[in-house]
This record gives sequence, structure tokens and C-alpha cells, in this order.
Amino acid sequence: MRRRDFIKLIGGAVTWPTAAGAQQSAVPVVGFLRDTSADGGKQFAAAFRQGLRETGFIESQNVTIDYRWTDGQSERLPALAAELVRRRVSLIVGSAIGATLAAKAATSTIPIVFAVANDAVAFGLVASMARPGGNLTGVSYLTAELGGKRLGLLHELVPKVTHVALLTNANNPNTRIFVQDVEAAARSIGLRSETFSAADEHEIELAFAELSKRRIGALLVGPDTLFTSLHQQIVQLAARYAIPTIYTAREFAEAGGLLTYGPSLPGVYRQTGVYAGRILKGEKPAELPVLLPTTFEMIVNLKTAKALGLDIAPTLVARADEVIE
Amino acid sequence: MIARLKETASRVGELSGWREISGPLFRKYVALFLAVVSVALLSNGLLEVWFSYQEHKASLIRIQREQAAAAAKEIEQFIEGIKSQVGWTTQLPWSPATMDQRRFDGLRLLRQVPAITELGQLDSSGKEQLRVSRLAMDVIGSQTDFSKEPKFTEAVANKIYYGPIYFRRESEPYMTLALAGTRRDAGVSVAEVNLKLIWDVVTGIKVGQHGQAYAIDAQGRLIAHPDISLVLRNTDMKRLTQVRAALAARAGEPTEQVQVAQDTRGREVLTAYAPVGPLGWIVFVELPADEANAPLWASVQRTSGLLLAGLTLAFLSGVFLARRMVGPIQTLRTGAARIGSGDLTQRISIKTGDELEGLADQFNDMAGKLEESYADLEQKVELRTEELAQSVAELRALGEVSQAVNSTLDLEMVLNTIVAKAVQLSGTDAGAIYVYDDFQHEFRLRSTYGMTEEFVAGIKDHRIGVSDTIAQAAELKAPVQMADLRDEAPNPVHELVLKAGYRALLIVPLIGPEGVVGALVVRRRDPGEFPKQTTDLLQTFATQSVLAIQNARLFREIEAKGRQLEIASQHKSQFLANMSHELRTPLNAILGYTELILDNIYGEMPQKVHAVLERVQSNGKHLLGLINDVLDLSKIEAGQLTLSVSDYSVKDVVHNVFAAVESLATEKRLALKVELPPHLPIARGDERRLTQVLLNLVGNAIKFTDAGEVRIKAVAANGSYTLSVRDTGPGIDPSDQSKIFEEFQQADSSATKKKGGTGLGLAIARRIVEMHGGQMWVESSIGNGATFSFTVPIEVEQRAEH
Repeated sequence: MRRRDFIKLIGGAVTWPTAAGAQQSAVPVVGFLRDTSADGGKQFAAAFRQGLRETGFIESQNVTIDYRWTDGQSERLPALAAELVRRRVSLIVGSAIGATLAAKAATSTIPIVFAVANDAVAFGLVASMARPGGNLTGVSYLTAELGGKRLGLLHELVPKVTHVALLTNANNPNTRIFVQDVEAAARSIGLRSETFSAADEHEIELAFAELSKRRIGALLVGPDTLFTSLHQQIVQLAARYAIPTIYTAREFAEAGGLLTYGPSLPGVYRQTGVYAGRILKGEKPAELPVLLPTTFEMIVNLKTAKALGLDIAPTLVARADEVIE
Repeated sequence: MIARLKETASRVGELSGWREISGPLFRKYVALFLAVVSVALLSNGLLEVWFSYQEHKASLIRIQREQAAAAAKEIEQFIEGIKSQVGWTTQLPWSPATMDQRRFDGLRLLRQVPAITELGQLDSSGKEQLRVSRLAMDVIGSQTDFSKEPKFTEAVANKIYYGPIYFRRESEPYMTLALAGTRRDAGVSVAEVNLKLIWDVVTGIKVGQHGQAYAIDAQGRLIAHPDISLVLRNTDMKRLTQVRAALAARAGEPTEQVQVAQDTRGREVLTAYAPVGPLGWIVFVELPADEANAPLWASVQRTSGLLLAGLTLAFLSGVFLARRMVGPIQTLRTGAARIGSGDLTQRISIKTGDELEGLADQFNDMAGKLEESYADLEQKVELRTEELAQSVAELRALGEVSQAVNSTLDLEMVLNTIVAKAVQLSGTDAGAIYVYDDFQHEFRLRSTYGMTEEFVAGIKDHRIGVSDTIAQAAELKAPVQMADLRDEAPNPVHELVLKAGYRALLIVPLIGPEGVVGALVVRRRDPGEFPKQTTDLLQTFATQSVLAIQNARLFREIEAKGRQLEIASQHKSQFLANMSHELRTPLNAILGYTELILDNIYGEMPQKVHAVLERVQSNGKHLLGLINDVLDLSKIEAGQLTLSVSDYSVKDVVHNVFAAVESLATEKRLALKVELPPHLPIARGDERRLTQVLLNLVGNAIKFTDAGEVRIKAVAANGSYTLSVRDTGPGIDPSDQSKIFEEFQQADSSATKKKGGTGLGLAIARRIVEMHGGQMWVESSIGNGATFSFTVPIEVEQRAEH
């Protein structure tokens, strides 16, 4: 009898501290907002999840991701953002500028990690690149500012072309910078540039038709989520009209676009994932500096080149990060 | 919770018999054991922990230094790599033909070295001829003049130029690396190196779980860190002690080696560093002290866990051992206590096979012996108590007897009591007391107890004379006993006794101061010796009996004498009365006739005859006075004198006396004085007798004083008056003063003869005063006269003299 008591005593003493410790903590919810369809954003989401994994958050184990897609309907962004806020998510991922701005309008307390193609400071997302302040931070992947570089590449590709076209989305706030960059670069090498605006499929069609009519020799497609989501159509149009085009993202090249140059977006989203993980662990977005992409990739599609009857200089091919044949 | 713990602990304690065992000794043993073990464990544990900590720390620092060195090496190699790659671009000569090649080389460089964001080539005059960029459009032949820039001048001078770290967009760390060609006119290649890629190198360093490596430039600014935000934030690391120390060491200043410091977040870290080649950078490898010490803590925890377990074990074994040790001691204690408190049947059982068992055996021995002696003692006590009871009974009996003896003079009763008690206390069956008759020389049976009438009659008939046993005892003046009458010589008395059924006999003689007084006999049916106790007891009774008998005798004698005295006194009074009458009658006749003759009834007498007859008359009166006095005295003695009480004046008494003795005093030429206060009371008493008293005193005073004076003084006081008669006579010796109040006495018998008097006066006077309730006394000394005084109360009631 007494031994039993004794063991009870010892046992109780041992388990007591451990029992006291355990407490349930809630699984954080991360909202992922993108102004495209789920399909259009799935690789970015995948890259984002990889970044989260790197910080120790595995979906459906210790984190939940709530994806909100607009399916192309940009006007839904504010409502979706508000929903996420109502749901009291721990963090919102703003994928591209539209989503990020909507999220920023919806909350000033919930941390927002963005992956935008623009200057975060210029767009009022952060106070400074090194110290954002506020509740936003993320990756500013500069693709709009690569306009000049892209023009240079395009020129290298088709040196005889003197009149180039720009396809832009007037709704996109980046457009202006892109256009400026390209026009400045064009001027510096003595080329003429002309901007064509399109806001949806139909307008893209019209734009292509137009620039073909004008006999413009080359095209630069501006960085825009709409365009990225419609990459198939655009590439097809370019092929149809046999216009040598340089794009911003690798999707285009993979779909058949001639040339793309831009920051590696999966890398960018991976970085946002890492940041998201860090914020979930307790770091403040105000103190996480905005990242700039470090890797840029040039992808050239030789098949398309051949189809266009273009002879791409071997040096260019040699420089390409990826060659699609 | 705490309450439940206590409850359990107490229950455990109870069940294990804690309370019986735990005492100071037990606790001491347990505590000692515990202390020894815990000291050993603790010291061991602490030493181990301490040494392992030191070793651990040393090894960690070593590892970290190695890691830092490795990282530094890697960074060096990285830079070297870039250098060599960039260096390649300076090889081509400057010519329009080679521009494409240059461009291609540049672009390829960009491809191969992701760190380089931009490559510019300056010709030997410092003008830019080529620029290839990732971010911007390539530019060929811009001719921008950089000849004054350090990247050109220093590169030309030193072959290599490492520019300071600057930040693009205020967030990206860049460094300008400028390399001059080997040939004099080769120009300079300038590469803008994005140092963010060094981060990969630095972050590739695995330092424990939470450790990290970082690199700083020569100014102390962070250039590579796992937390890229810190790098982008352009953090100044000089506020860290280890950084300062390292920079100082680099600069060659003597400085202490810092091994433990704080990191940017204020956590304590174990830090080591290694410098990176010519760049002036320093790589730090830091491990949080918590992690470094984690094994230490784990070890400490283990040790304390072990210690606790060890202590618990020590405690339990200590309790167990102490119990083994203290148990027997406790058993001894309680056992001894029980024996001590009187339970002598208690035996201590210890089977430990050691000294304690031996001790327990000794205790048991002792207890056994004590038991025996107790039993012994108890027996003795019982015996003594019996004897005491017996003695008490005897004493009581004695007491009763003494009481009886003292309370009554009825000899019969006393003797009965004595014999009864004697028989009862001696444990015999019958007894008798004989009183010795001196005249007849035989012992008479006076008192019996327990004897049948027949037996009594038989004994009484038989006269016990001198030859009998009793007489023998009386002769011996000591008790005589016969254990069995059957063994004695036959004897008629003994026959009687035997017939009555008694076989043992004890005779105690009663011896008084003048000889044998009687005998006390006790008889027992059972034959056998009489114990000394009985003999002594009877002896005591015998003494008491003697006393009683003597008392009785004395009382009888006194009674007898008293009666005789009575008769004698009666005779005397009768005689006196007769005699006085007989004496007075003729004397009165003589006096009468003499008076007649003096009155010349019978004719004239011659003078001579007259004188003679007068002398005869006076003598005769004197004789009458004497006879009266004698009669008075005898009356007084017989208690037959009565006072006739009436009121009288003291003054008158004095004056009467004065008048009576005046002539006498004048005759002897003595002064007779009287001192009277103004008021003398009227008293109540026998006037005649009191006058007689005063007359006697004054007469005596005159008689015994030959010269001087006689003074009569009267003093009245509360309820009484005092009369005193002072003379200037020869005085009375104090030794005679009491004598003179006795009958027939004068101070000097010779004086009696000279002065005359019967000597009765003072005695009578005193008696009379005393009958009044007063006193008479004398104050005198030889040669100073005498003062006789008496005090009489004013109110006197009839008092008869006893």
C-alpha cells in the first residue's frame, strides 16, 4: 500500500512539470492574393511555399494558406482583400502590384509581404528600401526598369529594326516607368518607339493587328500580370504576326516567345516565402528591408527564332541562361 | 497539492513505523549518511561540470575559429575567382576588331560570375570603351573619362583596386574591383561586384543550430550576414566588442582576445574570427552561448538529476540502515523503560548478533534477577506486614488495657480485660490471673477467660501454693512455659488442665516492687512452644496487671486510711468539744469565785491577798482565753466556724482596739499612733472577729516591742481596705515569717516562754481574714521592726472554710 502511494508520488512529481507546459497554439493563416487565376499563379504559389518550408512552415501542418484569385477581374481585389482581413489572417502575400495595393488599403496592421515588379518606395509601399516602416515588406523585382536592357537585347537580336513597339497595360502603374526607360534607351541608340495600350484580350488582339499594319519590326511586351496570365495568347499573336518580341518572364519563352529577360520570379517568390516565414516567427515587416532580385535570366527560344527566320548571333545564344529548342 | 503531498508523506511515515523509530539518534544517522553521500555526489558533479564546461568551451572556440578561417578562405577564393575572371578581360589589346570579342568576353563574364552586375573597360587613358550590364543596356565606346578616378589610377598603380563598399539603391552592397592588365597599355577592367552573393558563402557556414557567421569590412560595416536585412540596412558592427577587438588586432594594436561577447541582438555568444586576405575584411563565427552551454546545461541537469536520485537513494538507504541500527537501540530503550516502570516480566528481544544483543541479554538477566528479588521482597513484606498487623493488634490491646487500667479502679474489670486480651492476642484458648495472697501464701484465682465454669471451679478448689508451677515462675521471676503438659511430671493442677483439654501452658509471674503479686496464665489446646513474641506480649500484660493490682491495693489502703482519718477527726472534735466544756466549766467557777472575792463579797482581803488574787484572776482569764482560742481554732479547722455578717465601721473597729490596748502601750512606755484617712468605708463582715484580728496584731506588736512605737494605719481602696500595724520591735527574720502564721508557733520558742501566749493568735487571725476573702501578710527584717497588714474586702458574704 505504501509503495503504491510512493510511486504515485514520484510519478506525479515527474509528470507535473511536463503537464503544465503543454499549451495549444493556433495555426497561422496566410492569405495569398493575386490578380490572376489560380492556374496563372500556381508556380509562384509553389515557389512561395518552398520559401515557407525553408523557414519551417509546412502547409497543412503548421500553417494554412488561403488563396484568393481574381480570375482576371481586377475589381474584385478590394473585396478579396477585405475578406482576408476579416478572416484575421496572420499575413497577406501581395502577388504583383495590384494585389499589394489592395491589401495595403485593406489593412494597416496585418503584415503584408509583396512581390512587385516596381519600385516599392515610388509606389508608396514602403518608406525606404532598407527600412520599410509600416506593415509592408517584400521583394521589388525591378522588372519594369529592365526596359532599357531589354531594348538593347532586342536591338542585338534584330539590329536592322528602327521602329519598335511597346505593348503596355494602361492600368498598370508600372507602365509609365517602363515606357520611360525604353524610350530613353531607344533615343540613346537612335530608335523610334511607339506605345500600344491593351487592357484585355480583345485589346491585345487589336494592338497586335495595329502594329502589324504599321509594319513595326519588333515588340517589347511590358511587365504586367495580365499579360503574364495571357502569355499563351500573346505569344501566339506574335507568332501569327511574325513579330520578333522580347518578353519579361520565362512563361513567355516556354510558351514560344522568342526572348525573355527578367528576374527569376520563382526565386523572387521563394524569397517572399522566406520573409513570410520570418514574419510568422515574429519579425516585424517594418524592419525587414525590401529585397531586390539578384538573378536575372535570359531565355531564348530557337524554335521561334527559326520560325521567324531569324538568325540569332551565336554570342547571344551563348549568353542565354536557357535555350529552348 | 502541497496538502496532498504532506498527507501522503505522513501516511508513508506511519505505515513504515516512522514514529516509533524516528528520534534524534535516528535523524542523526540519516542526516550523516545523507550528508556524506550528498557531499561526495555534489563535489563530483560540480567538478565534472566545471571541467567539462571548460573543455567544451575551448573546443567550441577552436571549431569556430576553424570555421571562420575556412569561411575567410572561401571568401578570399571567391574574390580571387572574380579577380582572375576579371583579369582575363584585360588580356585583349585595344582595337576595333577586338571590341566584339571584348564585348563577348564581358557578357560571358557576366554569365559566369553572377556577382558581377556590371563590367566596364577603360583604355590605357582611362576612357571607358565598353560597358556591359545586367540591368542596363550595354554601351560601347562611351569615352567617359575615368582617368582621375581611383579605380583607374590605383589599379594602374597597384595592378588591383578594391573599392570601398557602397550601396546601390541604399540597400545593395557593391564593391568596385578594378584590375589593370599585365601590359602597360592594357587598360583597366572595372567590375561592379554585388556582394549579396558573398552572403551565400557566409550563410553556407553551419555553426551549430543557431550559430551564424558574418563578415565585416575594414570599417566595421556588415557586408555579409545570414540575416540579409542587416546587411541591407548597412549595419555598423563596431558597437560589438569582438568586432572592435578584431579590428584592433588587425591593425596590429595589442588587444585582448574576446571569446565571449554579445551579438547584435544582445545575446551572449561564443565568438571567433578570421581575417580575409588583402581586403581587410573579417569573418566572424558566433555561436549563442546558450547553445554552446546547452550540453553543459544538459550535463548539469543530468548531474543534478543524478544527484537528486543519488540523494533520494542515500536517504532511503540511510533510513533503512539507521532503522536497522536505531531499531535495536529503541527496543532496548522501551524495554528498559518498561522494566524500569515495574513490569519485570518484560524481556527484550534483539537478535542482531552484535553488542546490542549482548546488552539486551544483560538487561534481561537484570530483569530476571529483579523479578526474583521483588518476589522475595514481596514475601518478606507480607511477612512483616503480618507481624506488624499482629503488633498493631497487640498495641491496641495494650492500649485498651492501659485505658482500662487507668480508667477504672475496679480491679475485677481490669483483670478481666487483661486476661481476655492476653488470651486473644497470644493466640491461646484460655487464660487466668491469680493474685498472690501474702498472708495465706497462696495464689488466688481472680479472673478468667475462656474457661468453663467447671474448670474454674476445679481450679479454685485447688489451692496453688508455693510448690506449684506458678510459684516456681514467681520464684524465678520469669515466665515459665510447658510445651506439652503430657510430657511434664504429673501434677494435680496439670491433670485438671489436661482434662479441660489444654496441653500447652505459659505462666508469667506478676512481680511488683515488693515481690510477687500474682501470675498470668494462658493455656493452649495445641501443644508446642510459645513463641518469644507471645511471651514478651504477656510480659507486658503482666506489667500492666501488676500496676492494676497495685493501684487497686493502694486505693483500698487509701480508702481505709481515709476512713480512719475521718474517725480520728471526729474523735478529736468530739474530744475538744467535750474538753473545752469540761475545762471551761471549772475555770468559769474559779474566775467567778475569784471575782467575787475581789469584789469583797466574802469580806475584806488584805492587800497581798488581793494582789495575789488579781494575778490568779488574770491568769485564769488568760487560760480562758487560751481555751477559747483552742476551741475557736478547732472549730475553724473543723470548718464549723461561721461568721456573723453585719455592717460595721472600720473606724470604730480601729478606735475600739486603740482604746483596748492604750493602757498596755502606756505601761510599756510605747507610743501608740493611729493614722486614718478622712473617710473609711462602712464594711460588711464579722465585726467581732475582725476586731479580734486587729486586737491580736496590735497586741502582738506591743508585746514584742520593748521600745519605740506601734502605729496603726488604715487605707481604703477599691472595694477593700487595708489595716497595717507597724512596730519598732526586733523584727522577724524572713525565714520565720511563714512559720509565725502556723499554729502553736512563735518565731522564737524561747520568746514564747518569755512573752507568753499560746501562739494561736496569728493563725486564727489569718484564718478569719481569709474567711472574709482577704489576705494577711507581714513585712519585716531583723532590727527594723515589723509591719503586719491585712486586706479585707468591704463586701463579704458568708464563706465557709474548707
